[in-house]
Amino acid sequence: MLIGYYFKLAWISLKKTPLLSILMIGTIAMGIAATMITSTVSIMMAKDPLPEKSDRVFSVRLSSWSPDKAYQLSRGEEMLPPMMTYMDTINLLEDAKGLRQSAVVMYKSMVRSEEQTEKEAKMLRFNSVNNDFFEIFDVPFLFGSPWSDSEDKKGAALVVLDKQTNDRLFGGANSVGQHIFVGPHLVRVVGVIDSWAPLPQVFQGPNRAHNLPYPLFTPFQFQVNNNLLSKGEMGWRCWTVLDDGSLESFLASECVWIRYWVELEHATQRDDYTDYINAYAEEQKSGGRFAREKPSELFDINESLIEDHVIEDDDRIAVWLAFAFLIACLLNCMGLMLIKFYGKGAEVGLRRAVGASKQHIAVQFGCETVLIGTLGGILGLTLAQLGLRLTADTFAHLPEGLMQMTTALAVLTVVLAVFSSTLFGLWPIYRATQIQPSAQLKSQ
Amino acid sequence: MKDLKPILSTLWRAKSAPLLLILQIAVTFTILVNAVYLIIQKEAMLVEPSGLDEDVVFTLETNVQSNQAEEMIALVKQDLRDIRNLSSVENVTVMNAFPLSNWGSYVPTGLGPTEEDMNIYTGYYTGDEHAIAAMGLELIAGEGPSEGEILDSIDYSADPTHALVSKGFAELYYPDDWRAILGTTVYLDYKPVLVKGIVKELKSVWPDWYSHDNTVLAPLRSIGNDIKILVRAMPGQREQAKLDVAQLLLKTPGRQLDRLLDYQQIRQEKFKSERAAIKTLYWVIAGLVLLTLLGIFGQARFTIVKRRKQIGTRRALGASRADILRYCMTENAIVTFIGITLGVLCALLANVQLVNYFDMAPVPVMYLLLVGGVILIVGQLAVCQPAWMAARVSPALATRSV
Repeated sequence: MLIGYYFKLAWISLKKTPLLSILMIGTIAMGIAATMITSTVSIMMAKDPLPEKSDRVFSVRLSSWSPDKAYQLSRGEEMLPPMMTYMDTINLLEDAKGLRQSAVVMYKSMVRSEEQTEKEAKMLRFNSVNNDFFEIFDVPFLFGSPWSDSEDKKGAALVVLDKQTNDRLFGGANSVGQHIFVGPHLVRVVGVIDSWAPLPQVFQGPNRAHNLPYPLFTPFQFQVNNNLLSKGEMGWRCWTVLDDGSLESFLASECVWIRYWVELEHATQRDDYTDYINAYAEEQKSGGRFAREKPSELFDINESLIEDHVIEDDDRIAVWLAFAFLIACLLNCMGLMLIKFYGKGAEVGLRRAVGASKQHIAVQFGCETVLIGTLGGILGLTLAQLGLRLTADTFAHLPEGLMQMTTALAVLTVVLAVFSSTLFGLWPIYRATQIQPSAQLKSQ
Repeated sequence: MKDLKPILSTLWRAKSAPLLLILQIAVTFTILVNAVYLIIQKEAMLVEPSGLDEDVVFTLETNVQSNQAEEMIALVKQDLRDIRNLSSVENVTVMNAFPLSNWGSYVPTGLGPTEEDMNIYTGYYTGDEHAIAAMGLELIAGEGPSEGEILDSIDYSADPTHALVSKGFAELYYPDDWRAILGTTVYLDYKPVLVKGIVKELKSVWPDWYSHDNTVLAPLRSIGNDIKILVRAMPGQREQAKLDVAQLLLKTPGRQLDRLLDYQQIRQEKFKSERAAIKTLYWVIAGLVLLTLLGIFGQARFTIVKRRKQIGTRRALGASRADILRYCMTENAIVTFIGITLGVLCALLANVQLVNYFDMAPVPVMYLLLVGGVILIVGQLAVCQPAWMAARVSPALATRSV
């Protein structure tokens, strides 16, 4: 095969000028590695956390906010509160118009096992959710399962632990049926979740989007029944004056503090659900609430990532920087190739003189650029893996395993290297084909 | 400078290789300028003062073991008294949030009560009569609240009637004379508040927030199920004070302590993403400088190999080694300089895009000059070895055929 022969020529040619070859392959590798590292980081930071159903899981926003003022203005547009009131949460939960629905709030409490003394208790943070939460967000269970519907409504004293807490309190054993203390409350373990690092973590707002989830989950109604509100810790806002500091007046108030998520069976039901919450807002309006112009809105997962500003500009800037870096590398490589092919002028002239066509010359040098690109890509891939290890150390505050290149990205890396080196080799190749046989022969 | 003309005419005749180098330098320059600028902005954020005496101050959260308002207030006051009596503690206050801690409140503010007036959001702190002293704030006009003026605010229920503002806030509404805000009424969350004092510097809890410099400090004792306490230790006794306070509070059964942190820890926690980003940017810069070195080195080296015969001829005609060396260095300097000039244009264009899309501040001219200088030096370093090689080409080479 002629192509095989050309690749052999290319290989010989690379070996003939080792320093130049190393420089060319090295620059491509550096550019590719930088681009891949930043892309991986950026893709991981902003990826869809629930790809199978992100278009049918929605954050519900209902604005029972003050008739006199907007919750917040963003670039002149009114924003709905990202959280809702207790009243509305309960009403929507009772209607249960979605396939699954859950409130999400956080609180903190001292936690210890039955054997531990109060002094050994640790302050831990909880997510207060409904039992559907685990299914909406595909939470994997190691032992046990979520609590039942009736337990959910009652707000039974039940808890789901994460693996780490289970390891710490129960030595990793199946703790379902055991009890732990949450503050003064004795609470039964119903489930232990397996390692779970949804990223970005969308369900409770932007502040902890790139952290691990809170370690414990209890029923929403359990938090309410036992007044386990950590107001110094959770996000909440009011526009009315509370009668007093009591839980009852807080629950009855127009204060917003609960995030509400709903999963629908099909993305097509979005309009129906929108109609439903609009109708709900209308109905409340007749009761004197919901006085704002735009009272309700739905955001699917990807939309709420944008609405809540989870995806940050920095990541995008980094990707642009890396692509510019790749271009600098490729320009560098192109210059080197130009020199390289030019240096082979005599050889080209000779080959042309003995009958090789321009196409032959082009294919021959084309093979060389492909070879350079492939070697550069493979080296780049290795560098990128190394770089991602370093990056994982740099971003040590993010969950482990985040900085991993997928096979698709790895293949893309090599393809990108070959493609770009060939593309940037076109000009040098063109220049090489323009070499006149006579001129070169004369100088011999 | 007698080399200038031949260099230019050589460059003009074999355009493509130097042109590529010029492009590469231009792109490198563009990235470098923006990366360096990003780093400097981010690093400035890391060390930006919060307004507090961070060396002696630490914070903690603890629970209040009651649900009855009267009892809650009494318990908190007792805790504060006990902490203040510790020998390692100089002062203590109860607040709603701490600068840089990432969790806090903000309120819409303005000079009038209507929605149109409420045009800016402002960081909102509450603190008692010890707040200014405990934090170490500098009161630059007016006066702080006295003991009798402090209201107890259970779960943010109380509204202040007067407040202190940061100088940043005062300058926002009275840019010509910030002192003029003293004694005037401003509206916080649509309610009138009398400005009684101005503190020099008090930053919000979110350093990347647009309104980071604008804060108000309301004379309230924030009390809830949890309270946030800020302690000022005696000079040099911060660690001891942390231990003492924890020990004291844990004497009460059922006491919960959380987030006992000094400001080194708070900064560490707040800026971990920024630190990671800065580190990444340093890698980018290192890679780029290395790449420029390699690129220039490779090009120069192989041009010289190509020109051996020409150089030999020049040497045979009487050019000294220093002449050849100077020729190579000058050639490189010219190419790099053209690259930088083109780079300045690209960098400015790229920066305009960054400013538009990512709300970045425009790059000061100083950075352009600085980065240009660095690239010029890197270029000269890279060309040293090849130039030296060229200078050593023997004149005899000219007489031989290649």
